[in-house]
Amino acid sequence: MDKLSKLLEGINGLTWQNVVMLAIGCVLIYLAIKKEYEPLLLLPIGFGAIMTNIPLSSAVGEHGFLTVLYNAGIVNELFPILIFIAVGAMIDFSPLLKQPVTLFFGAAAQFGIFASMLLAAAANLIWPGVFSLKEAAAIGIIGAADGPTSIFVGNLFAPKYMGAITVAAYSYMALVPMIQPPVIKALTTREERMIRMDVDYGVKVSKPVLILFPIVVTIVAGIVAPISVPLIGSLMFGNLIRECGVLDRLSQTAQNELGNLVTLLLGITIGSTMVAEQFLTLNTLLILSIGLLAFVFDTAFGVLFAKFVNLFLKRKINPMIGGCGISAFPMSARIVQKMAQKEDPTNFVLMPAIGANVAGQIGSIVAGAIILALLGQGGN
Amino acid sequence: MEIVFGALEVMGIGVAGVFLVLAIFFILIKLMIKLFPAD
Repeated sequence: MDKLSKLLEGINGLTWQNVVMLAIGCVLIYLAIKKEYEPLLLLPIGFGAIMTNIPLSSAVGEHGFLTVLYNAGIVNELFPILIFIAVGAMIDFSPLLKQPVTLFFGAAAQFGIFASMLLAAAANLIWPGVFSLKEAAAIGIIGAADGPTSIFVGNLFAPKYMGAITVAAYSYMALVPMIQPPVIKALTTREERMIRMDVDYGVKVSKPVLILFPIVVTIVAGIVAPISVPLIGSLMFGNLIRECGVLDRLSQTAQNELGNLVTLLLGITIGSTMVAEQFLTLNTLLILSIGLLAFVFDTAFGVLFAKFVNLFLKRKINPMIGGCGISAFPMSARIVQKMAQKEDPTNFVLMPAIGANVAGQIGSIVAGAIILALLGQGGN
Repeated sequence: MEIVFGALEVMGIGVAGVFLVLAIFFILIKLMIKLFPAD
């Protein structure tokens, strides 16, 4: 009888919260496979959530392999850093270097991070004590549209909301083709969407500039905000091995094997943070809602900034480019190109859009680093 | 209310900081393009 009850321990331990979390895990896997929403991340996250929420699962706990992975790769920020090396090796910064003015769109779109942080902090006016300032900042960082940065900041400032923050960040990145177009359309006229832009302003980028750029950015960002060194340094290290021309094998390894392996482990480990007691709360719903608004704010502020800049320019910029200042690369640039061609099939704004999109990658890391620098020491 | 003011402060400094750092990058890129022109 004793042995039989041991076999039934799992069934006896099953709660409705476990069932809901198992269902959420299945939904994430469905979205990844059927809808192809960020499958690289959502599928492992969904499966990790399932393994974690099976009652008495030995995948989590002191010796559980998911806990071991969590301690080895998330607590010490190793996985997001390694992902950044892979991302850096994949990015071509030349569209940005040809049109450095697009950097400012990458800065403007980060306003969404701070607006969402303010919103999360303001939630305390309705539900006192719901989020601390650091937690509000970690929620705002969803607006970076940048998974590794969200994980990096989330782990430091809001470890108990890591699951919700990461799921929100990656889900909304997958939904960028649905979130951005209505916002951009609402804020621009047809004439504005038809504005043509030069492809590369006739600027050519030399090899020394491509090599110097990652080094200079790391040094400058590191001096301004030393806490940014792991984030920006790993991204730029990846880019340097891509651009230097003598490390092709390492560059390929970073882009493929390293990126794939760490993505695999990162996703399943993040899934293990989706524990029912912490995930099924009002706070998670708030995080998901504010995260969605963060993407809307990013896009809106980027477009509005471009329209503001146009007030002072003789040669107008297509304001849709402003909406590309987020880190969701290259989705955002493709969306804007598609919208431009919908109004005028002969209009090509892809290159400046990619420039702004790449600037968004740098901008989001800088914003994350500044938040870490401002809130990193003391306080709550 | 204190937390909202705290968030506003981070927002003000943060937005200014992001623009400042990217403005420095803008100047440095322009400088590098001038110093190392493509053939």
